[in-house]
Amino acid sequence: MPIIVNLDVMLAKRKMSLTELSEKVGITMSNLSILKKGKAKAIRFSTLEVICEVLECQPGDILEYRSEE
Amino acid sequence: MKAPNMFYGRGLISFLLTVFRIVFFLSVFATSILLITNMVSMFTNVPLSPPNFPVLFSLTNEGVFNSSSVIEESSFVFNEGMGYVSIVNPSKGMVVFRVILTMLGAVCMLVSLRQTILILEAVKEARFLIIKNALRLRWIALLGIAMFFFDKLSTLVSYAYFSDKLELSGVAFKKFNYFILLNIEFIFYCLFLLVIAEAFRVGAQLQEETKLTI
Repeated sequence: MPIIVNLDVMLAKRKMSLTELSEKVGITMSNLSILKKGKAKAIRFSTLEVICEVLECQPGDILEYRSEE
Repeated sequence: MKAPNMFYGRGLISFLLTVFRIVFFLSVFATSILLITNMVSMFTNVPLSPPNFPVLFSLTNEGVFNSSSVIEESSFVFNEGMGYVSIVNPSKGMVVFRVILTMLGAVCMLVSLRQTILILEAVKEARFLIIKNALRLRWIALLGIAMFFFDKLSTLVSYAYFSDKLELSGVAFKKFNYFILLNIEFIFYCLFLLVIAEAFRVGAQLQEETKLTI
């Protein structure tokens, strides 16, 4: 899929672990792991909102479009 | 406390699974025997038993209809009939053609049974609404259509081939009559199953997408 999830990059920038993020946003570790690995089919605006709030970033910092070519 | 993969009707699923497994193994056995006997028959040129071919016919003589409610005797004609003829020395091409179509039908049946067993095994593990099961249902429907096609092709060719080659006093052999439409509803059942399989596939796909929506 040409949409890349840069959640691990943002976590590294904020020096935050996935467990910590999971506790702060209220999303299970398994779901965050699916998102981080890029296996998710879709992401809710509410999820994106809360992640951006906790990581103090923009949606574009987490999601990136990269052409398949 | 119930285990998470326990659900109502599990006993029925286990029963069906056992039945289908038995039917599958019996079918494999019967098909193997059929294949071996036909191969032996073909290569040794010795027919093990006279092969049966389906034929259509009508009787040319009128019959008498006796009814207690009618004072006068009435008559009837035997318009449409279907039966099997055993031919001692049939044309080899016709035998080979019929055997090949019978074997293709049997293979379709075996694959359908196997797919049904796989669906039941998945259901037993509480994994029913999955895309794989929908695809298996689609295969069962398509194989059903193929089975119907092989069976009809075999019988129609037999009707046409023997209609002008068989002679029997008082019997007129035909290429077509009502019996060519026999079991035609089977194709509609298969088409209904195909529609259900497609609806099932879309449902399973949506469920998977929902599951992977974070």
